[in-house]
Amino acid sequence: MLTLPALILVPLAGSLIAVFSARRSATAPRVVALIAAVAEAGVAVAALVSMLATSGERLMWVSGGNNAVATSRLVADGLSIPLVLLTALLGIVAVAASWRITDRPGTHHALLLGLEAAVMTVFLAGDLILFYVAWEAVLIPMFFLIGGWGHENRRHAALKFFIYTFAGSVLMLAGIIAVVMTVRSITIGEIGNAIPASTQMWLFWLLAIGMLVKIPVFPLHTWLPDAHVEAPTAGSIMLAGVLLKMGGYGLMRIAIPYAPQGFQSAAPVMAGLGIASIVYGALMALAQTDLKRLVAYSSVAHMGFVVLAISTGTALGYAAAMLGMVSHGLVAGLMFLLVGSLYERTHTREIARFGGLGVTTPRWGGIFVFAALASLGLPGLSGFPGELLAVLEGFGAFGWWMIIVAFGALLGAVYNLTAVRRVVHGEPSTEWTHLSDIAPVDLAAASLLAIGIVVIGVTPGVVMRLTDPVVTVLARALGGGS
Amino acid sequence: MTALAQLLESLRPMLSIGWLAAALAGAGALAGLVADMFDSRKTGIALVALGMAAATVVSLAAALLPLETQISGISSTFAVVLTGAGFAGLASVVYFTAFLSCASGLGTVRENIRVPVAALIAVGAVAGQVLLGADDVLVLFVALELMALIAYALVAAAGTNRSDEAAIRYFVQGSVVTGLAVLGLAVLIGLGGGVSGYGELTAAIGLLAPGAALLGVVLLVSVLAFKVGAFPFHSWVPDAYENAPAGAAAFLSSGAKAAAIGGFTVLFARLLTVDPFLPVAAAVRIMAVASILFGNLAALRQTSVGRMLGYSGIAQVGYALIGLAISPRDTLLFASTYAVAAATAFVALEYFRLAEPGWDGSVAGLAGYGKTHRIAALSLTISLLSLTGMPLMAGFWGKFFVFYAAGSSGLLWLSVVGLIGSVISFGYYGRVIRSLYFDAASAAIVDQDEQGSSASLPNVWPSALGASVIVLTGIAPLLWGLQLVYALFSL
Repeated sequence: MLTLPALILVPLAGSLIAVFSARRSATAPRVVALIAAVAEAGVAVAALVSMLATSGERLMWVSGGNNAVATSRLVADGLSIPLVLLTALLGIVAVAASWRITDRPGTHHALLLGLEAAVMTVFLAGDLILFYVAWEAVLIPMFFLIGGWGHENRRHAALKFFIYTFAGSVLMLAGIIAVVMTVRSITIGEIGNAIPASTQMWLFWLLAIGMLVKIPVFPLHTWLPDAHVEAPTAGSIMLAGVLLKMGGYGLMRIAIPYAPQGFQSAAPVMAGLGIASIVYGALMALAQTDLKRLVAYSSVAHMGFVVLAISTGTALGYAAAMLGMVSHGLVAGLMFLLVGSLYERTHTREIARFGGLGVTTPRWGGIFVFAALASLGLPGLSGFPGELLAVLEGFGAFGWWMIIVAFGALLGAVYNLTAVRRVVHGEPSTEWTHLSDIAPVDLAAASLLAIGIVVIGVTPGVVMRLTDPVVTVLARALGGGS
Repeated sequence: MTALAQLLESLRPMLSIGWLAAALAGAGALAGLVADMFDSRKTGIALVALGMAAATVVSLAAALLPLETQISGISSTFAVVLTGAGFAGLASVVYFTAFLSCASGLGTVRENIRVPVAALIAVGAVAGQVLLGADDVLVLFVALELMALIAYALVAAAGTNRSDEAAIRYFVQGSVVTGLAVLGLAVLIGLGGGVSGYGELTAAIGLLAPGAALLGVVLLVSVLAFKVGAFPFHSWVPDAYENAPAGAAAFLSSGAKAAAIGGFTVLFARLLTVDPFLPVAAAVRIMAVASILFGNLAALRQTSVGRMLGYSGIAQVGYALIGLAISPRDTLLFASTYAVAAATAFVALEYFRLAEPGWDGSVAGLAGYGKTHRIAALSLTISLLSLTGMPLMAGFWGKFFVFYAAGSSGLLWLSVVGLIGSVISFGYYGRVIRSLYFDAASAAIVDQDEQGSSASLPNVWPSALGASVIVLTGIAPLLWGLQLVYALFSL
C-alpha cells in the first residue's frame, strides 16, 4: 500500500522544493506548496478509496517489506482516515491562508508542509516509536512557525508552547517505555504480556497526560491561548484544526487500549475534566475582548466534548469523538481563517473596534455568521451530531452530570451569538467604511471548509461509516462494547 | 618454523586494524608538525585533519566489518591496544569530533600555536581510543592522564588571561584528582595481589571483604565524576568550556568526554557487578540525578553560550551516568550522540566567533544570525535540538535507549527524572534558537556584517557536516531499523 508512505513523502518533497524554489521568485514557494497540498489531498482520497474498495478495515505498509526485522510500519484504519482527510484538507486551507506572506515565504511554506508530514505520520504510525517520534517532530515546525511569523508576543509564546507540550509528551514517553518493556513489542495494538492492573492505574495517566495537554483539557490548557493568538493564521489553523486532534487520537489509539483498566477507573475524572473544559472554555470565550482569543477558548470547550465522548468508552462515544474532532477541525479552521483574514486587513483583533461588518464586508460577515452557527452546534451543521451524541452517551455513562454540559452548550450559543452581534451586526464602525471584503483566495478556502461542514452536518454517517468497524473493536476490548 | 609461527601469532594483535586508526592519527599529527616547521599553518592543520578523517573512516569500518575476532580470548570486532576489548564505534566518534575540531581551522587559538594545538587534539583522540580499549586499570590511568594534560593545554590555548586562569584552576583541581586516582588504584591493585587487568582484578577483589576495596572503588568514582564533569566535581566544566577557544572546546567537550565516559563504563560494567560494590552503583545513580538537576537548573541562568553549554554538559553527563551501571551499550550510544552534537555546537560557535568579531559570546548577541549566517545557525539549531533529545535527531536515540534501559531495570523514576531534565533543557537551548531566528539583529551588528562581508569567512562546512551526521543518524533508524545501532555499539 504505497499510498501510506506517499502521504508522508509528498508534503516532505514539497517542503524541500519550496525551500529551493524561493531562490527563483518570491511567489514560487506558495505555488509549490499549493500543488503539494492538493496532491496530498489527492493521495488521501486515494487512500480512502482503496480502503473502501478493499472493504478491509485497515491499510498497512511495512518498511522493507513484511520481514520481521523492519521497525517502521504505517497503518490506516477508520480512526486515522478521517483525520488524515481532515489534515489534507486543512493543509490546503493553511497554504491559502498564508498566500500573501512575503517574509521568507520559502521557509514558511516548507515548515507548513513539514508540519503536515509530521502530523500525517502521527495518524499513520503503526508502532510506538514512530508514533512518538512523529508526535515530537510536530513541535519543531510549529515552534518555528509561531516564533518566526507570529504576532507581537511570539518569542514568548513559541517557547511556552514548546516546553509545555514537550513536558506532557516526555511523560508520555515514560509511559511508552513502561508499555514496551512489559508488552515486549512496539507494534501498536499488539499486546503480548498483559499489563498488570495495578500498573495500569498510573500507566494510564502517564500516557494520557501528554495527550490531555495536547487536546488541551481545562487545567492543562494554559499554553493554548498564547500559542493560538500569537501564531500566524496558517499556524493557528493547523494548531486548532489538526494538532489538537492528535490528543484525542492518541487517547483512543494508545492510552486506552494499553491501559483499559486504568482507563476505567480514570474515566470519571476524565469526564470531569471534559465537562470542566466545556464550561470553562465557554465562560472564558464569553469574557474575551480579542476575537482570536475567543476562538482559541472555544476550542477548549469543543475539545471538552471530545474528551467527554472518549471517556464514556463506548463505541458510540468514540464515534462521537471522531465526529466532534473532524467537525471542530473544520469549524475552528474556518474561524481562524476568517479572523486571520480580518486581521490582515484591519491589523486589530479587538472585538470592540468592530461592528456592522455585515454591511461593510457582507461576504466575510455572512461566512462568519455561518461559522458561528456551526460552532454553536446548529442542527444540520457539523457541530451538532458529534456533540449531541457525546451528551447522549455521557448521559448513559455518567447520568445527570450532563445538565452541566447542557449549560455549557447553552453558553456556547451565547458567546458565539454575542460575537456575531458585536462584530457583524450593529452600527457600522466609521473606522472600517472602506474595508475591502474577504480576498478571493480566502473565500475559496472558506467555501471548501463550509462544504465540509454542511456535508458532515447533513450526513454524519459518512464519518461514522468509516469509524464504525474500528470503534466497535476498540470498545469491545474495553469490555462489553455497550 | 614453529617459532616463526608463534612469533607471527604474537604479532597478530599488533597488526590488527586497531592500530591503524591510531597510527593514521599520529602520522597526521606528525606531518602537520613538520608542515608547521615550514610555516605553512593551513597545510599543517589540514594534514592533521586529514589524519583524523582517515582514522574516523578506519575505525568506523572496523566497527561495521568484523575483521578480527577472538583476539586474546575476548570476542571483539576491534583490538585497540594490546589488551583491547574495543569500541570501534565510539572510537570513530571520538576521531570524528577531533576531525570537526581541527577542520574548524582553530581560528580562535593563538596563531603561532595553531598546528601544535591541532596535533595535541590528534594525540588526545588517540588517547581517547586507548581509553576506550583499555582492559587494564593501568592503561586506563595512563590514557586518562595523557588526556588530562592535553585538556589543560587546550583550555589555555586561547592565550587570553581568562583562559590561562581557567586552565590553571583546572590543572590544580586535576592534580588533586590524579592523586586520588593513584591512591584508589593502589588500594585496588594492592588488594588484588598485583593484578591490574579488569577481569582478574574484579575476580580477585570479589573474593575479599568489602571494606578497603570499597574505599578504592569510591575513590575511582570520584575520579570518574571529575573527569567527566559530573556533580559534585563539576566546577571546572563551565569555566573551561567558556574560556577555551571554541574550536578546541569542540573536542574537549565531546570526544574527550565521550572517551572518558566510555572508558569508565567498561571498568564499572565489570566492577559494579560485584556484590560489595552495589551501594556504589546507587551512589552513581544519585550522582546522575544530582548532575541532571543541577546542570539543567544552573544552565537556565546563563547568559554566555559557552558557559551554558558547560552547565548543560554536566546535565548530559548525568544522563550518561544513568546508563553507566545498567547498560554499557546504551551508555556508549548516548555518549556518541552527545559528542557529535556538542562538537557541532562548539564548531558553530567557533564560526560565529570568527565571522562576527563583535559577538560577545552571549545568547542575546546571537540575535539575527539566523538570517546572516544561515548554515552555521541551522547547524547550531540542529545540534541543540539533538542535545534536547528531539526525535529526528541522533540525540533522541541516545536518550531513548538510556531511559529505556533504566526503565527495564525497574528504575523508571530515573528515566522520569532524565525526561524532566530534558524538558528543562529546552528552556536554555530554546533561548539560543530563539535568539538566532526570532530576534532581530541590532543595527550595529548589521553594519558590521556589511563591512566584514569582503573579508574571507571561516569554514562553515564542519558544522554543516556535524549537523548532517546528526540528522542522518537520527532518521536512519526509523527507516532501516536499529540493527546498525546495535552493530556499532555492542560490546
